[in-house]
Amino acid sequence: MANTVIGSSIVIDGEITGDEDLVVRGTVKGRVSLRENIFVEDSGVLEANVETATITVHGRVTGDIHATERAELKSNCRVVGDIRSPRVLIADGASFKGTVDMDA
Amino acid sequence: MARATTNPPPSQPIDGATVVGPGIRISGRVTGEEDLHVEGRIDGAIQLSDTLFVAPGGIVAAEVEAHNVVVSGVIVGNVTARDCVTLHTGAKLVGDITAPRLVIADGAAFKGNVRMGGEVAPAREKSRSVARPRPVATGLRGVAAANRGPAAAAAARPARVPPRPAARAQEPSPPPRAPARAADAPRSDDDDTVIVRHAAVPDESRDSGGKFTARSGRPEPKEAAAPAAKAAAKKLPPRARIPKPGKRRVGRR
Repeated sequence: MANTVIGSSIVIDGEITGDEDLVVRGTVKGRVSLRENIFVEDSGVLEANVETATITVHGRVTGDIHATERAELKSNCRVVGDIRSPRVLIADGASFKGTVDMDA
Repeated sequence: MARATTNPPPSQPIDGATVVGPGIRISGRVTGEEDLHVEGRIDGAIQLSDTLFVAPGGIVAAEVEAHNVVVSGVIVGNVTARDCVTLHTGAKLVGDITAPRLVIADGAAFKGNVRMGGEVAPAREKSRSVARPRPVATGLRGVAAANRGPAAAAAARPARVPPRPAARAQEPSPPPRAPARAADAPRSDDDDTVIVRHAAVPDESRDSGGKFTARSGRPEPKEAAAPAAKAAAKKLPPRARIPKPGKRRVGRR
């Protein structure tokens, strides 16, 4: 269980890079670049451009998402930005504003 | 003993706590009101109202402010704790510590200043301003660049200071020349032209006086010019010597 978790009261302003799963319950501003999975939970706020393998959003994301495998927007999430990913899943009730590019 | 009493929370990640895993690197500013476990790396600054844990293998290259700081890994940067700083066996800390309580276990490495004043806030400022340059010199390059702009500037200042006096020292030398030129040869800005005029102008005395002052850098050309004029008036041969080379050349040719 080497997951990286950003707790709900944590604010990170900067850049996160790495190669393991990231769970965001707090706020991350700047840039996130991972080779694994990102989970933005209900309380999580991502104000960043994201590069990752997969991203699952329950909370809020503002910024462009580039997921090499999959981007999944769960219900009640709010996403503003462009999504580039071969597989994009948007659940009923999800809020999304931006463009989708599935050619990647 | 000391460890048992001074690190109340275990260093194992608890559910809900913030963890930076070993494969993660964060560069920037991290703030929060909960425990933070660092198994990976954080560069920049950390500000917590709770406890920072740096696990074995964890690296923090940052200015740290927290309630407690428990180190088993590496911290490079100044650490300010409102309560306690604990360095466990295997911990490495390079930087200044400001905390009312400090525990250093056997096998921990630490380099820096310690300030354990009761008044943390003012003491912190003092310790920073006094001690900042030191860690910079001890190899905190990354942190120094990131967090110690003022300190780096302060360190650079002494290096910049010497050139100024040197420049000032050089500046005064022209002024003596300037009056000499102004008196003897107002139009000439180069030393070469002055010398040429010596050869050309028959009244050599004034020019020669000016020339001497210019080369020796004496500020008073008139006093030097007066004896030089008499000397030049008595010694005509020097004036005659000047054309000689030309005559000789002609003769040789």
